Amino acid sequence: MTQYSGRSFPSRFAALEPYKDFARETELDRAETINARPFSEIVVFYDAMLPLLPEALDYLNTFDVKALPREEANLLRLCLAMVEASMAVELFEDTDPKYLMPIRRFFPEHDRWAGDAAKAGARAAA
Amino acid sequence: MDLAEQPVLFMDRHPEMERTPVPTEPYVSADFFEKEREKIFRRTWINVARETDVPEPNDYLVREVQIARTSVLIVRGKDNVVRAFHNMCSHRGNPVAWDERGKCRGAFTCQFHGWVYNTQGELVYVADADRFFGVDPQQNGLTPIHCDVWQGFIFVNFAERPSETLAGYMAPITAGVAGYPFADYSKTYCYKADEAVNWKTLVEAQLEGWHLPTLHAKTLAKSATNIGKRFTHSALDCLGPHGFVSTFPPDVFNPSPVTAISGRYGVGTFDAFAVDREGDKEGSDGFKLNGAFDLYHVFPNLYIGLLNGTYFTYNIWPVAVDRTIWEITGYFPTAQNAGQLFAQQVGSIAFRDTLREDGFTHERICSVMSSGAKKQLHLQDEEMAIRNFMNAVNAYVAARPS
Repeated sequence: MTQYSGRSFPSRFAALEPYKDFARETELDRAETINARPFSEIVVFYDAMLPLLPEALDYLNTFDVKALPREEANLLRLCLAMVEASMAVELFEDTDPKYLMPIRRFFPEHDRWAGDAAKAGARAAA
Repeated sequence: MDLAEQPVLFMDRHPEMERTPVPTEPYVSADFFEKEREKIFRRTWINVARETDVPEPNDYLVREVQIARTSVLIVRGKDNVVRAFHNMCSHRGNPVAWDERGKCRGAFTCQFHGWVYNTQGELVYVADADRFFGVDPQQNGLTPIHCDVWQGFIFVNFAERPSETLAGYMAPITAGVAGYPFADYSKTYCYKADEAVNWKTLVEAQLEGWHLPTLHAKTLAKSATNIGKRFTHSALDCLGPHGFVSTFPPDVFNPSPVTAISGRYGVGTFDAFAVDREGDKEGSDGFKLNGAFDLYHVFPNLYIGLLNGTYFTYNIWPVAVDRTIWEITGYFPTAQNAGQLFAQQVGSIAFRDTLREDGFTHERICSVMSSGAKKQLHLQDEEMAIRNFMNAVNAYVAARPS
């Protein structure tokens, strides 16, 4: 039985614990979370994450990406949230750029695919 | 410089093409929209899926095609042939497939009263048959829709008798696309934007790269154009009613820090645009692009964008004269690890936000197009593919019923 550690991320990435709220499961959720934060807050996240990003990806690459344990799955979601942060910091200098269609209206259908596949698998097995 | 003396590049190849302003009326007229529905969308080949969406016998997929006012059921039979039908029971009209996709057991059972159709559309069981007053199963199968496959893309044609085969319709494009390794990539992302815009405004916005340095200054411009150089397409072709667009990759590409990191783990999208055709060709098997990317417009409403290491499609679905659904689908090699997944996300999100800039513009254009303030629009030489598209729209709309 796995002990629930109370950590969001693997222990060597404990420094990222303050940003656990960005590690959302879907692209829509990650994008909207970043959109809603002040720019200065996302800059802090970006600056903390950037030097750890290659190490995080190298570490995650040692796992089967289809079967990540809880802490590693959270770490991957945080890396994906970093992609959203990079758009805000590197390209737009804004977390909620003015002249873009809102993400909810540019809907990421692929967020549903994993769930649909799981349901289809369950139906086929039944 | 006298405007008349300016060098004209692309349109010199098409002396028959007019150079006059074009009317705004077709973008705002509900009557014209209905003509487009009948004369274009019920007469041409329309992409609805990829073969890989229904890879095995009994796999099926349902597509609501509002412009044809129907629900299309696409199913691979046990003979491995892909067929398309109107998703409508002959009894009292209930769609026989309620889910978007699935695997049937060789047949579809209508969930209203239990009539059964096999995967070839044949009515094989009429519930309570003895209480009907003469239902001939042979006359009451699912109504078929012409269906064919090109380069792994499944197309349908709603005409009773299509005026040409799919192969013939696609012939102007086939040579340019043949050899692209579509099979190396699988569907990775799909965005669906429900926009308040006329479908033609949306199509046309993608039929030229001239807006890249301006509209996409913060996003795609750095990867797909040369900042500071006057924009010109690397290729701009009219291929029958279809179009082809390509732009020069940047002389120098400076990836942002996160893009630079992601490049060590896999191929994304901005970097795929920026890679010169002589450069690293991960996954492209030596297929030569004409520039940063090869973008094909398949009349009326499909785009296929080819890059090194990824490709994307747009399906542009008219709903009303001022409403269109834009589906953007991206294909990558299946990510083998977290690093590749990350790189692909860098790619898809950068692309997504570029297209969100387009979507914003589309709706702003539509908001004023009906004002009557402008009766005409102007097109320059680099917008030749737009003029070709408009000509094709007008030709189909004006054609006599067959």
